[in-house]
Amino acid sequence: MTFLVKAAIPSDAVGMMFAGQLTETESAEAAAIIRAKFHLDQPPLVQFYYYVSDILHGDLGVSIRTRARVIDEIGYRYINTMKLAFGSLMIGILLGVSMGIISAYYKDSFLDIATMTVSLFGLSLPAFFFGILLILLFCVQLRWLPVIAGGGWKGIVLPAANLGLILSASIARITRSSMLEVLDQDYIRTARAKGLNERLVVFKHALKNALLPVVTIIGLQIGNLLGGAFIIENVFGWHGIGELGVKAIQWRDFTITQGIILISAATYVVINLIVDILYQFIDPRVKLAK
Amino acid sequence: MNSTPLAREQQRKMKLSVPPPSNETLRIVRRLLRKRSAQIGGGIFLVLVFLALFGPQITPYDPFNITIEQRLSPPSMQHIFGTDEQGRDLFSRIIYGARYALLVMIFTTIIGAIGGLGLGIPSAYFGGWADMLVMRLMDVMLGFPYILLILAIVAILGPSLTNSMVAIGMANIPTFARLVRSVILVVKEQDFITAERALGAGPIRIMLRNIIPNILSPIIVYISLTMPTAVLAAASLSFLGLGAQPPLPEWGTMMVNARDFIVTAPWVVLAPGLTIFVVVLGINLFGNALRDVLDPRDTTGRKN
Repeated sequence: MTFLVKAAIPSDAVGMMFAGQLTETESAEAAAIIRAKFHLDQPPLVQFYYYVSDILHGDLGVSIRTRARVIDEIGYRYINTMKLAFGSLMIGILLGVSMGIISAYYKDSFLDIATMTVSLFGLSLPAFFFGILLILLFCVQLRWLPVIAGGGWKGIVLPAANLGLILSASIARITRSSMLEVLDQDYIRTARAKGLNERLVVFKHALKNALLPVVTIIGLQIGNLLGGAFIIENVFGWHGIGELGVKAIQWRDFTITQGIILISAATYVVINLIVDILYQFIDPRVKLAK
Repeated sequence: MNSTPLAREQQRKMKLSVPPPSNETLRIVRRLLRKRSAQIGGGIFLVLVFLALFGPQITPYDPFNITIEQRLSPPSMQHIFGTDEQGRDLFSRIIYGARYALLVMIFTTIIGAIGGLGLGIPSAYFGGWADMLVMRLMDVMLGFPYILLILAIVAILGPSLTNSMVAIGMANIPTFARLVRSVILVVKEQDFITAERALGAGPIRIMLRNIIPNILSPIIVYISLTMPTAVLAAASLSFLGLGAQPPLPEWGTMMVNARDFIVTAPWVVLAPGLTIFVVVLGINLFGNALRDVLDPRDTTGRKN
């Protein structure tokens, strides 16, 4: 797993260096100075060496545009993005899992079909369009919340709801199919035959066993969540790394872009590592190798 | 990591469909057409194709024609969806946008399929260090979240419609390659492949004649899954200004300045947004129906 982090990031960094090189051709002399400073005049392998050694020293370099240290530019925004991601995750899990359970329990009923239709809508709605609709409803029509999120607590409500609702669509689907499979098992029939009350059967016996694939999907969905944050932050003007990232790509500020992609990918890998470790606690059959 | 359950699932499928007789395909199509979701989804898709092909013949106005006097006029008989901030007819622009949506679907699928098959088939067929190398490379790409991978590639290539399509297509390669590999690993051990080899068929012949036809159904299902995400991703990139650039009537691009007008002229946002929604919903519906029909194991209770 950790090998993957190391392998994943530098390979992309080299590509990013090329990106910087290609675009700096507009003003030749200025570019030459910048290039020398960022070692861009060196062959790729040497650049790669500098990059890796800098990272190992915990140095992400300075922004080519603002001259500020990348770590300072990203730092507080990263925390903002994590706040947003955490909020959406909570909404997504709570809503998604409960929708999935209801849907599976009342399979083929009106409730099931309605829930699944809503979740299909959620999967088909472009995230940014959904965001705009939310703004239209809550900020323009009802005037409950500010249009520009900024970094305050009031501003987090809509973007988190936006991402969370979209996330809940896929979580609901996987919970439903996983619950359906488990509810069909013999031990559920046994539990019912013993005369346990339904609530105990559903929540203790069934849900516990149905959660494993759900946790896997949640781990993978965190990637989508981070990606979604990139888009949603721009809709709501939430000051996170996504907002900065998109600007950095437009400005061709490759050190910032690099830093953001590095930190997001690292976050994603670490979260999935945590999910892998969590398996042990959810499913005692899973033992981590080595 | 998660290839084993998938492989097992494929194995079950393979037993049912190897080798596929031609009337089997016909039966699948017939069963598909009987499903309500396939009818709706397919209908939406056909409309999209029709609009893309005959766009210029049916649009009432030139989608690039700027008439400032008529800027931001609400939906009316003249302009069904209203006009945007430069007085361009939204209805015409949306019809032209169908071309880009279709282009995105075709282009990204082709890149994903060529890359996925090109890496997956040899990797599974020959195994050994080539397999190792390809799969580690795919793992590296999968280490990035989907949108982030696309953004990273766009950052390298620079923002444009073509580059965003290339990026989305490339981001589809790793999953595609893995899927192809896991399916082939099952197929290549089957008796009829051994029989072909005994008859003296070379690796290329076996791949083209025996392996590809046998992995078609999971591939079709996978494509039905990636197409809606590709459309969404392309629209999102354009919306962020990293995909198609402004004068183009691409649906995401049409919403770039939308935020400034949501109070005064909500139709500027609603028209392209709802269009994307309907199109993606249509492909999702069709894809769901396709999955139900092609995967006989997963009968989710609804009548087939």
